[in-house]
Amino acid sequence: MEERVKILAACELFKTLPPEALEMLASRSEAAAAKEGEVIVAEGKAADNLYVVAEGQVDYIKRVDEKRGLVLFRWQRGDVLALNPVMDGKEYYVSAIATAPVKFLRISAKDFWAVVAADPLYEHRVFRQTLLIQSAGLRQTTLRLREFLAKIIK
Amino acid sequence: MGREELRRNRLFKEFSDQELDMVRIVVDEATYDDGQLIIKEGDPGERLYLIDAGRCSVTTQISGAGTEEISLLHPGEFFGEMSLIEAAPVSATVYARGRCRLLWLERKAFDRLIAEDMPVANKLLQAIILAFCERARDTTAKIEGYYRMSKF
Repeated sequence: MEERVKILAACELFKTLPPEALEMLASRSEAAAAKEGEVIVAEGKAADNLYVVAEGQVDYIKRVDEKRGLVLFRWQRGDVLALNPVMDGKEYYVSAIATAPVKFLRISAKDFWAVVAADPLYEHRVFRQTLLIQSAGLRQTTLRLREFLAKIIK
Repeated sequence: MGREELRRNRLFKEFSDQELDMVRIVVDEATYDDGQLIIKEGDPGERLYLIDAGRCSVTTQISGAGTEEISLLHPGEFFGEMSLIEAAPVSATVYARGRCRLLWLERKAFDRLIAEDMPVANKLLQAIILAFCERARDTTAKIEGYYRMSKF
C-alpha cells in the first residue's frame, strides 16, 4: 500500500492530490506487470482502466495497417496511460505496448471517477493536471503532424 | 454580452444563468475581417478566444513548404487556451476566414474564474478537457492519414 501511494505521488496526474486522496486511490488500485511486447491497452477497446507506469517503458502505437503501427509517444515511470479515453469515456484510440518489462498500477475508470468525485478539490487538482498533460501531448502530436505534412509536401 | 451568446460556445453549454453571469462580466468581443491575423505562433498567449460567428483558420509553418492550414474552427469552438494553461507561447497562427466575431477572456480573467469558484472552475476545466480529448483523437487520425499519404 505504501509503495502504491509513492508511485501515485510521483505521477504527474496525481502529484498535487492530498495524502488522503492518494491513499483512497492506492487502495482501489491493482499492481500489475507486462512483459516486453505485451499489449497493455488495445486500440478500439472500451476505456475501462487508467494505468500509472511504475517502472519500464511503454509505446503508444497507432495502427496504420494490418501489420504496422506508428509510434506516437514513449511513456516511462510516472506517466499515465489511457487518460483521454477515461476522460471522454470513448474507446482507446491507440494501443499501449510494453517495449521493456513494465510494472504499473491499474485503476478502473469507475474507481478513478469515484475518488475524483469524492471532493471538488480532488476534482479540481486532477483536472488541472490533466490539462497540463493534454496540452503537452497536443503540442507533441502537432509536431508529428507537421513532420508528416512536410514529407507529403516534399 | 448575452447569456445565450456564451452558451452557444461548447465551453459554457452546461453553465447555469448565474454561472454565465460570472463569465459575462469578464468577456469582451471583437470583429475580424477575412484574412486578418488574430494570434501569431510564438507570441505570448494572453487570451482565450471563443468563436461566435465566422470561421478561424489554424495554420503552422512547414519547413520548406511555407504556411499550411492544420485545422478550421467553427462557431461554438475556441482557441488560445493552451498558452493560458501552460503559460507557454502560442503554438499556431490563427487567421479569420470570412468575417469573424470573437469573444475573448484575458489571462487574468481566466485565472480568476478558475481560482474563485471551484464548481464553476471544474465545469470549465472539464469542458476544455473534453475538447482536448476530441482534438487529440482528430490529430492522431490526421497523423495516420498523412502517414499513409507519405507512403504513396
